[in-house]
Amino acid sequence: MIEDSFLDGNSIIHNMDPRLRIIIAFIFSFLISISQQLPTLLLGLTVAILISFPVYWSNHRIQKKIIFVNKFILLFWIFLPLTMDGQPIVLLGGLIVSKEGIWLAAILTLKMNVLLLVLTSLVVTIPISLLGKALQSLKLPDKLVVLLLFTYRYIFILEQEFRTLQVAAKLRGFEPATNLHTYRTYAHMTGMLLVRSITKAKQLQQAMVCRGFTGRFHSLSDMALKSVDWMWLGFFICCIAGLGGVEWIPR
Amino acid sequence: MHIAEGIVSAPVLVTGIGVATAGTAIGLRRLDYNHIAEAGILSACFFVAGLIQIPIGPASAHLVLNGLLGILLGWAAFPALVVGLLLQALFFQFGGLTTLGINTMNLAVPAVICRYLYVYIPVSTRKWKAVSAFLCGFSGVGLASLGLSGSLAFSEENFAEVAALVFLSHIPIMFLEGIITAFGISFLTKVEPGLLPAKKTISVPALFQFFTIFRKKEIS
Amino acid sequence: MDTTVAPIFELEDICFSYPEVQVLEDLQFSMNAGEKLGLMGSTGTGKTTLLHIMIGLLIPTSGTVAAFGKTMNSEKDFVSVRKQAGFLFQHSDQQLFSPTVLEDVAFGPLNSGMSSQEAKEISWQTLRSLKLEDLADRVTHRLSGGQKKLVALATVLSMSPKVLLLDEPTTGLDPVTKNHVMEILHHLDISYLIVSHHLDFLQQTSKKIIMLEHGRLISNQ
Ligand SMILES: Nc1ncnc2c1ncn2[C@@H]1O[C@H](COP(=O)(O)OP(=O)(O)O)[C@@H](O)[C@H]1O
Ligand SMILES: [Mg+2]
Repeated sequence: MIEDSFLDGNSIIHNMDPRLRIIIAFIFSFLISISQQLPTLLLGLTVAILISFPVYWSNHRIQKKIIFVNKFILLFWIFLPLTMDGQPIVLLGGLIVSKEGIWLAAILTLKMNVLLLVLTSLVVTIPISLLGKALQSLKLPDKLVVLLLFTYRYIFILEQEFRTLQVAAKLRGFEPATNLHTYRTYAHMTGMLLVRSITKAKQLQQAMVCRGFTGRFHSLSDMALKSVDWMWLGFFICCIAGLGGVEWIPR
Repeated sequence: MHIAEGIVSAPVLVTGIGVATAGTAIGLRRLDYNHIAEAGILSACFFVAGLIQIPIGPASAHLVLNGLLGILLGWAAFPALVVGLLLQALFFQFGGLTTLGINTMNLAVPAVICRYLYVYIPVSTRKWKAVSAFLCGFSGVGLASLGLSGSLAFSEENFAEVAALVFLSHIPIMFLEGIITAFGISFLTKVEPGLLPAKKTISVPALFQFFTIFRKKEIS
Repeated sequence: MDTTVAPIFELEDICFSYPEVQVLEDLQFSMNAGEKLGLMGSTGTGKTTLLHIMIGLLIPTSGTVAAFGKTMNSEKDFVSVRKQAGFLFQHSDQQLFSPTVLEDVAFGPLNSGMSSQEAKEISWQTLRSLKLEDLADRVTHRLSGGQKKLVALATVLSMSPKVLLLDEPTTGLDPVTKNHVMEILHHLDISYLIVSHHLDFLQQTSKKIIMLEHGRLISNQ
């Protein structure tokens, strides 16, 4: 079962303007992504931890998301120390690894964790309806926003229906294995869900047309920056300038 | 099939954002309001397919479905995938905001290629239709893994081995995806052929039609 | 224990609740080989929940489930039970997913390891016995609600189950189709448990009717 994984709560981060959070998260993440220097990353980590604390107090589930370690990073820890050229270090058991490889893997791990914290505390804390409004207010195309809200709604429906079909198949003796019968069955289930949901969605659309829907969603947003948002904006401009300064101003 | 945040370099990120933005703009132009529901359902399907484990030898994999998505949606696969990937980033932190562009590019470009492959491969018998659908599913994931590995390799020369490993590990999934796409298309042909795009033959006008992508046009 | 005389299902002290509602409370139930039972109860009393517990789709909060003389302790124990029990879902859409009717009916037999030729033969036989052979090549998705119900019944029967659990097989059926189902059930000599809101239907198909009320079963006759 998928659960709605938005981190709801009521912290100073939750009360920040969602548009501001999206834009800041993007710029901040981008800077961290391309940074090469350890001090920049450490500064980024400090800010990221600072902003994730209020979220943590308000919703402990953020922990679960941070514990999640991406498959990628493990790959890098295995591969980079072994394959990269550089100063060799001999580990117990005679395995030779390169110092630079370990360094790169460590930098990547640090980066990924900063980015994870920024994403989860600033963006994952925006409930979907608010996210829709914020994106619309940031001038993203209406159609894209409608598509987002629609997809979000259908995720839960489709997953539920798929699980039910799986159970029904199990009741008729279906045991997934590596064979064509299994793959055909999964394709049929997927196809059936698609066809059925699309039929239903079209009927829904007809019902909406009957009630005077013309295909345009009216602008949903009336957002304004509060004074506390301006303070946040100031804070993050300083952070971002700081990151840029540490990264690029030669010492 | 996601690149996590913090791994690829600025040029790769920016290329991704550029291609994804352009593709999404074209996709949205061609997606009229009557088909948004359809695109949303397909994009939800893409999301859910990422959660379902399918046995493949001693391991298991999940479906990507970008080939099927491309066949059914054409250019509208771009917005559908942006939305699906954004939700995956928010739900599970597979990828993030900065990698949304490159992840979309890696999945959606192959998807659109699949649409053209499907529409223009001239086949008529059932068997060859299945073969061409297999080819679409196979190359959907194949090209996407190539994109994924390429993004890694271009970012940092020391990633070459990891990139190669990533590509090789996707080969079984290409076959899986090919088979599922073939069965899926055959299912739709029987049950709801109206969802599938019409086959076309390559002709000079058809070639010209490729250049009309920038005109507002509804998906058929 | 001799499985031929043991009850097909034996439920003892079953309690079950969903996060918000307590549905079953100290429920006792047993079903013997050859028994034809009807189960009634107003909507939302937990009939579907009870059936799902019987085949292990839901795990009771407390109490024991035994099937074919064996106490069910884990998911694995239910695997063989599910092979012998034919389960008809309340909503046929939850059950049907193959493109055509024949393919869907053949799905179960294929899973039990038959060749596609054998599976096809069995499916035709089943469809003929239900007088559904005209539907064989139809697309399941486009059938009417009643037709879907009948096809779902066929997909269950093609696995030659030892016992049937039917969740509202008659809801939404017209009188003619309802009689058709009734006739089918009359000609079956296996045990079954039918959930239905139609008393007359249950009276004609079942030897014994039980009621589910406030989380417990009450025997009527
Ligand atoms: N998945 C669920 N989560 C929470 N409550 C449920 C769920 N399924 C059923 N219920 C509730 O449990 C009660 C019994 O449901 P059900 O067994 O379907 O009743 P019946 O089949 O007798 O109509 C109802 O009140 C219903 O609202
Ligand atoms: Mg019910």
